[in-house]
Amino acid sequence: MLSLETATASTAICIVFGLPLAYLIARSNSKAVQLLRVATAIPLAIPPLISGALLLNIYGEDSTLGMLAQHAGFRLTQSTIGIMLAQVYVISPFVVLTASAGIEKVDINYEYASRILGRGPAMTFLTVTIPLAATEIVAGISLAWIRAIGEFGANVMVAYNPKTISIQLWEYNALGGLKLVMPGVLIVLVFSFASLAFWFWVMNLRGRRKTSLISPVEQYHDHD
Amino acid sequence: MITIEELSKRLGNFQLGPLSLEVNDAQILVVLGRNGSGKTTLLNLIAGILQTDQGKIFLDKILLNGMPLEKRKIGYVFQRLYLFPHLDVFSNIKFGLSRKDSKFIIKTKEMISMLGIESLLTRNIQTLSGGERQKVALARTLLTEPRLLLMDEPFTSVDVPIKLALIQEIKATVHRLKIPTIYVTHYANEAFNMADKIMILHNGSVVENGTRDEIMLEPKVQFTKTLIQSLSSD
Repeated sequence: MLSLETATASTAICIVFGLPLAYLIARSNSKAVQLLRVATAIPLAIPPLISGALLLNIYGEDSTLGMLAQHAGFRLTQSTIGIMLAQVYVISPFVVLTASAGIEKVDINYEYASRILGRGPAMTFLTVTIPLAATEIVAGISLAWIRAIGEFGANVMVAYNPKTISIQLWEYNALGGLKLVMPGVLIVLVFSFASLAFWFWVMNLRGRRKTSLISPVEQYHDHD
Repeated sequence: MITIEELSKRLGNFQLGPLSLEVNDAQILVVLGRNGSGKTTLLNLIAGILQTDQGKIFLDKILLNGMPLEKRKIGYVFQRLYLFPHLDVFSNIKFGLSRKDSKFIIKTKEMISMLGIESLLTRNIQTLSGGERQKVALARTLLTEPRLLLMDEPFTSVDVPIKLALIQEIKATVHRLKIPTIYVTHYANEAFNMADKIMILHNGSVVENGTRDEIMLEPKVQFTKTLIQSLSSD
């Protein structure tokens, strides 16, 4: 249950902050933003255990951030917050990079059309860009959520306790072997397939609506 | 009324303008020119999609330069229409309407009836014909009650008989709503059918500017003469 709750909360955090970031990455040509794109992929490039060690340096109990948090009355490690911070770090590339790839495919003229019709940039993002990039965005969110449930490497370094399902299974394996682990494995697999099924359902839904981003009219060449 | 003073824009090697124009309410200015003459660039500058290098754009004496797209009160029918594929016809039509508008339902019904698209409302955008799409795009644009209508070769995908009917429909609508309109095309026939005034662009420069009759009867440059001669074969 803890894994489900933290994974859902972490994924929600990634959606709120990650989708605007994905938009910025997709629409900006500035070198600084493209550097940000590369930076977003860092969690994919660094092994999870190493990531955990790096995160401990940033907000561990002996770090400035960690001490400030303790002073404020909460802990950034060995706590639910610690689990979520590690999960957000690990899953953010799934949300940001897939969403930015989806947004890049959306013809920017749809956004201009929306804005000329009177909707501001934020409403255009919510009502035009996100729906048109929904397949990629949902794919990223589904993968991020299931990745958060299964997160082990960074979590084991940052927040061994309270135990998420992956850490619990790792302990069970050490104590009683595969027999003890299998029920938990099956539960995680069910969630994995459920998230993949959700992704498939969204793709299928869009397929049935034939919501191709290039309308038949667009087969004609631009004249200017 | 829209007034443009000494507008210019450089895009790579291409230079548009400087050009000036004025279109009164209920008047249709057709910008005619070959591909790459700068017609769409001009519309994009007016709509705010592109920023001007120099010059001023006034709509009803209000300066548009630097104003966000959503505040300009302009209607723009794109060449590719850009109807939202994730919404049905009705949702596309009412996309630009504010829910706070108390006359929302009445206005929508009137527009739907005026353009004769009652039967299309629940249809998916992808199932519409070229003419139907055009009407939906026009309804969506006009419902926002723009103070200026921009149309960029909107009949590219429409058969000739439907195109002629739509041209008459647009002319009547523009005159009824009393809004200035800038209509872009590279078809001379379409231009002379539609226009009250004509501006001819060639490689980013204005080569001719006047009323339809002035340009038909007294073309100043060879380029216009060739265009007029091509009317019969257009």
